Amino acid sequence: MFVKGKGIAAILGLLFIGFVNISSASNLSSLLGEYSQLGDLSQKTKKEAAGNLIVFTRADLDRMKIKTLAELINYLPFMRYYEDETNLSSIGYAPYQYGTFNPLIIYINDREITSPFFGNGFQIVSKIDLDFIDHIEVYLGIPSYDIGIHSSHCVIKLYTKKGYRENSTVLGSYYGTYNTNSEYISAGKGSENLSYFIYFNRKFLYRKRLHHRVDDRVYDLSRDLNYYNFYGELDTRNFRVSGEALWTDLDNFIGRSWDITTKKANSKFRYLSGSIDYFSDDKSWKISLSYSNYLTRGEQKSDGPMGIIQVPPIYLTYNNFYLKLGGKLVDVNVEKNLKFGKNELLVGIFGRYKGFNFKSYKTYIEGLGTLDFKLPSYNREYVYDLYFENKYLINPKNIFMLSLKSEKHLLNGGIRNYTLFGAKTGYIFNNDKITFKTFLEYKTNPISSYVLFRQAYLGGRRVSPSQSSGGSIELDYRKANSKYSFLFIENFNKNFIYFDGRSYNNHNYSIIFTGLSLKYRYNFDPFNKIELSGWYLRANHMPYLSKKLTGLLGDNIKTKNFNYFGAYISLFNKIGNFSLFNSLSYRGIFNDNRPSFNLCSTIIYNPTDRLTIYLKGINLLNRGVTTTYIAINPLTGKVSTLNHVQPIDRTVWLGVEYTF
Amino acid sequence: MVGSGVHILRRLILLTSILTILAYPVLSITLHELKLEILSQVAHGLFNKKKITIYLADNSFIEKKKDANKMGIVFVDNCSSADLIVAGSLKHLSKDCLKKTIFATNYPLFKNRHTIGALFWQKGRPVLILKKRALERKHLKVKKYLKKYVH
Repeated sequence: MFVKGKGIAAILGLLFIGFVNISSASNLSSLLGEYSQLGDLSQKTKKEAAGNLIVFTRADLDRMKIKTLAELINYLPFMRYYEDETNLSSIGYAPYQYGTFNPLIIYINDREITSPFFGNGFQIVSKIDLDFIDHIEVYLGIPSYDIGIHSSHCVIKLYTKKGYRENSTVLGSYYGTYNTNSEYISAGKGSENLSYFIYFNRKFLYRKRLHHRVDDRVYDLSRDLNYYNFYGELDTRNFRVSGEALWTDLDNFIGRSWDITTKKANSKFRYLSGSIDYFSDDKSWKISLSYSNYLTRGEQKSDGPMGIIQVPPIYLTYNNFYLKLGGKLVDVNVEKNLKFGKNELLVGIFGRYKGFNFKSYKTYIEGLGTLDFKLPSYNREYVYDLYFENKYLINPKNIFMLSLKSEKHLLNGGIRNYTLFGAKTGYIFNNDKITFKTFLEYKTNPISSYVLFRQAYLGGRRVSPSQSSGGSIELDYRKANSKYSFLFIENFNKNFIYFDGRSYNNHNYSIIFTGLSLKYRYNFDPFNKIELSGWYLRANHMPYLSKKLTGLLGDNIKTKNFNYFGAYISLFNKIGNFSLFNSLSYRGIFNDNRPSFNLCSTIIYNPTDRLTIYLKGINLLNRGVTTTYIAINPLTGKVSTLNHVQPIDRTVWLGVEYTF
Repeated sequence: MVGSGVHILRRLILLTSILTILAYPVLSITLHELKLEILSQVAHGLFNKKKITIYLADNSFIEKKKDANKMGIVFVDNCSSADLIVAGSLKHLSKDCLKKTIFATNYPLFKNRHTIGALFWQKGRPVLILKKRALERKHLKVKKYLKKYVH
């Protein structure tokens, strides 16, 4: 163990500092504290019967000062946060498996965040600050269709702040490690009949620089990110109109360099989105329409090669490229809720148009000049869903549910159309003390446009949608101020898509995920609580890239069983005008990477009702989860590695917020 | 796929039978009961009476519970006979009732000069504020435990 003697004492001292002299809140203060919990917006939006649910309330997020989804992953079972070689967020990073596996689907309110080409919303929002988010619901497995139509292994729903819950203007800023700085302003006012909320954030996130030495040259690898984000929302009882604009400037770390000789790797991303939702008075109708526009500009240069381009009749390596990729996404969704007898039936249709367009994708080769890549003609996809879900209420405490979905993907450019199918059945028991849920599910998974496009470019054979089937059992037991949670999952994944170094293939083995999670929470009072959680996940037959690489990558794909472990202890305390959050989390892979320990701490001080000063630390022990990056030159067989890179740096931020 | 389904089902049945043994119901406080209790404390901090009559002009705020009597609250149907009016809007209040002590349930009405205070949401948290000047105008002296909410 790396933490010994005084280290342990110091950590435990820091964790338990909040339990010294906890002041007892007055009766009315306690009532207001309880009101804050019971009246939290999540009480209106969360659907216990919809799946295996984890909620981060507004109070939790405020006190943890959780800034990004990347941080939040630390508190979710069965997950580790990674960044891939291009500095994009991931939950299951493996070298060269980009775009093959996306276990997370992200929604902001009812709008799915995704991109037409990469199909990964987590990469868009994982690093932006969440100060415009009120609360977060995490559904493990396939949730109910009234939560989200498209699901993978986990759905994260981000619910935005509402003007009628804010009634304030907040100006905030924080500054910290590596000169990271962020400024934000939000304003919201109104009643439930009519309210508005607007938010603007500018953040310059500077990260620890990494260096890679090749012979006598040292390459500086940057993971910095600058962005501007705007969000606006207007709410009435029947309508919600929202708009978002995000401009990011991201350094792409290693990029695509085959030997980590990256000289430049940068991309600029612009995301514009607008949506309108209609809810009937009795909430039986919901109609949503959203439009999103994307533009990515990427540029990379390296000393060594990063790819092969065909210049008939020969193939040449190139060491730079520039691309400009545009995209559009239009979603339409209509849902109707019907009640008859003891049944609650949800019927819905969904339509999506997604289009992407390489406005430019070129490289410069000495002696030949600028060359355009010859790209496949596939650039458009239509998705149609028809789904229904029936809840049969034996009585208000016992519910049976069954849901079915059919999803058609129509693609152009000679890519074969495909149809997906989803089914889920479950039983839910819920009373004031016990929540018991069990689900069985089966589904086929969409293939990202990136994989289809690249497969067409590489000339690989057709890949089929992968299939997942699984089940879960959850038991939550509440007694007085305690809550015990137990979750067991088992998931079988057949025809898992992976990249073998030449093209994409369906995996021969059925990958089995088996997970067990235990969680305990004790509320001392509305302001002080402790949470303990531990989980175990076993993944059988995972495609694995052997470290003893020689020759082409494709000869080195093996399968391996992984045993993942995770645990955390979190303490929330309030002492006078101070609010404290301390958490120590552990992640480990049996017989593999070194275990990680992530100590996070937030101290919030409110000298007045209007002023908030906070100090926040992440990965304070500098022993967070690490990733080993592997780059391979397939022509020479040379393997370059970058070991023990932390996707979350040791960070300390000092922030201030003023409420007008 | 069938084999895997049977495998899952077997595990589910085993775990289900163990876990459901633990189930039995208890009672806990509801949101409306909680708001009623807060309202009772505010009312009794404002008026030195055992039974306080309240006219509810915002039915979405709270349910008129019969057990409100236990908390020293009586809901009345006529605002003219009420000690305290709890309102989300002033639209349906007569001129006479506007002169009464009005407690708001949202921020826009809190800003109205007719109200003496409010319970509303700000920055995602419930906030209780009583207006010092409005209380003085109504000649209301709050009890000690309410003083920290007077601004």
